[in-house]
Amino acid sequence: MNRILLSSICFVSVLLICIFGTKHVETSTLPLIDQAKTSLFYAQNDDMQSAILSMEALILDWEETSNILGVLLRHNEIDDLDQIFILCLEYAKNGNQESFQVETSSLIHRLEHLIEKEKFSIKNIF
Amino acid sequence: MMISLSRTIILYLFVIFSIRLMGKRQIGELQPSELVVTILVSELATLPMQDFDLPILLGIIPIVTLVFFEHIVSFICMKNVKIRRFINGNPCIIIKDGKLDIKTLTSLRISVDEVLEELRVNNVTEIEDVKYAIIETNGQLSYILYPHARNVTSGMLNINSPDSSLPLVVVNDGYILEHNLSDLKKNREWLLNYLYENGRIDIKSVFLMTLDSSNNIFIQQRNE
Repeated sequence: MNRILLSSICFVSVLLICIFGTKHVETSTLPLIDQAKTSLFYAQNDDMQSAILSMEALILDWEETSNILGVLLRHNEIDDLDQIFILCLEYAKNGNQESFQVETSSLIHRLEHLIEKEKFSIKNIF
Repeated sequence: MMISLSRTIILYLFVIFSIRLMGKRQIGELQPSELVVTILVSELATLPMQDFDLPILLGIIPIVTLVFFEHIVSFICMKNVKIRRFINGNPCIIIKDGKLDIKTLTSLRISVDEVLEELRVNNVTEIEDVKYAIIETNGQLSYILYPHARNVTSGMLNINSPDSSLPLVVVNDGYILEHNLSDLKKNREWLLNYLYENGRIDIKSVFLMTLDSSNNIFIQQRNE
């Protein structure tokens, strides 16, 4: 009986981690998406200086978030996003507005996909 | 490199914990569901060990889930005969009254050679000597011999043989196992006194000493 109790406690803990993990991916990624969209908006309105500042702030937030995300998600996904963030900032600093917009759109899509992938849905289960 | 080392240590400890949690049955006699879980646990543990892209948590979650469901299924099987039969199957009689049940053997896909081999392992050479042979749900063969083929026991000969009890280790490599001594209603003083009276043996020189409830003692010293 003790073993059943102990394995039940472990299972409940794992269940809570899963629920927290799914929620955390969503709550931590949504503000990043909003920030990326703001940065893209600045770029589309030819305000590259604000776009750079916004992207720099976004990268700082990402570095903080990615530590916990690394426990929950595959590390190569985090590494890929790291690279896109760096590319976006470089494009912005070099004044390559078109590439910045393409790369930021891709970043937004990848971040949205992170939430989509963790959602508890029939599509994801199968 | 250090990541690999630490991941392996964490997962090793975790798998040991999981296997211990599943209990002793898991190590000895595996039922079909238990076999599946044991194989899956070992496979799952190796994934995060080798693939550094995989968070260690993604290895731990399925292991905990499998162990939990294995417990639940075992518990349900223990309480419900129908579910137990569905999950673990039924024992099958393959030899009845000294004759092989060919139909059962065919359905189990067991050859006669395999049956004979298994019987030979158990020192049975003639099928005619076997009254019943049963393939248990864990795949092991158990058998009941005809009385004429069974080993003679003291009971059959009406001989009163002294009852022997389980010998317990009381000294292991110079170290006194107090709990075994107390199970036998003895104490450290009795042990040291016994060793002193029987050749002034130093406790540190005793490699193994066993004792049973009938006071049968076996001592092996280091230098023997």
